[in-house]
Amino acid sequence: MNDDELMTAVRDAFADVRLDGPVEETVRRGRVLRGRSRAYRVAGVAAVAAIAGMTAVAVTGPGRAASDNTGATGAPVVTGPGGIRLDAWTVSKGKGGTVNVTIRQLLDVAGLQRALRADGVPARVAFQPGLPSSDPPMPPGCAKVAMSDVANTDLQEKIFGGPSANMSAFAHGILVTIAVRQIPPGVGVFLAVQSGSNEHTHYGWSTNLVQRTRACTG
Amino acid sequence: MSIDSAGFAEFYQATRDDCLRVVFASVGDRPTAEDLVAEAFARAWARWHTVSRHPAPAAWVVRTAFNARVSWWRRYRREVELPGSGAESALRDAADGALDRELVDRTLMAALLRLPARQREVVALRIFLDLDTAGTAQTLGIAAGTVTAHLARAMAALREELSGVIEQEQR
Repeated sequence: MNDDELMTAVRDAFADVRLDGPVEETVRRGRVLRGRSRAYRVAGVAAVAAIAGMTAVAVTGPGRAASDNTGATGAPVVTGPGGIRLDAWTVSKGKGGTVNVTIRQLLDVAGLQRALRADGVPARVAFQPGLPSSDPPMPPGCAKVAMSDVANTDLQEKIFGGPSANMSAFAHGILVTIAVRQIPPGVGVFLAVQSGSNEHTHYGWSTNLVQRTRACTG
Repeated sequence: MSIDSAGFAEFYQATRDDCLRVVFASVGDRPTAEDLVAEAFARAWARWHTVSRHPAPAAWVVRTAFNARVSWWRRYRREVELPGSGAESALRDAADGALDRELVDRTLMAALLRLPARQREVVALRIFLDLDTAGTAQTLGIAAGTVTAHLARAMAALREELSGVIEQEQR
């Protein structure tokens, strides 16, 4: 088999891989990016002016005490396939100091957050309406950890594993495994879940690392 | 739609599938690849005035998707099939109709995904975007000689894994 035949075979194997989605959707997202870019330019000018004036402002959000609730399941229940009643979410301890989170329905986010923190995960959780976002809003009181994007990605690989390793989705929910011992001091984890919509049948979740503060991760 | 936007729409329609194939072959995860490519196309639209003058705009999109992969957010998305959507029966039909072709396709995809990441990127850019050595080197930010070496190793590895399956299909 020569190179051309081999390349043709590879090309054929991917023939059914197609990107759906109207161009209008891309343009809408592009408009947001273009607008944001302009906003950043304006903000940049303001920041330079502020630094020049040697002005420093500290902002703190309301504190949230860690709960002693070690509940492993969410109080709300939903009806699953075959009429089985399932908890909206489950938090359980796994092997090697891991914590498993299964989310079946976006209910009682505060309870889920409390359960995670009770199991030693400095966590912030947000359930958000709408289609999966590539840039979910940061919760109030939370701030990005100070590290490069590459270092951030590497650390998240250690905490959450790869896309197919410890983090997966199934037909009616999301499973996330968190390696608690891999979370360094001063760092918290942020899990954002978007519900999608019935029309598009998408749901998505994003993870990130945040500064471990009382306001953000309890 | 403005002339500018019309040009982008044409570009999007013509190149989106191949861009997805390159990124999918490189990252090995379809939903992640779709997110990355969609984001890269949106960035291309936001900078269309510049990107449209790029010698290889599709390569720009792929490079942007690769860069976005190492980003602050780790993103995951899942398509959930609703009852009666027809996707299940379509999969069954495909399985009944062309088993040999599917075997080849699965073998090829698996073999490709087993290659080292940089070899996958080089092969995917060559095959799906038809980039030459210089274009591939520029897109990946590596030397032309490195591209040649990666491509030769990747093709040899693929050939070794696939020869038997392809010959079986051709009989």
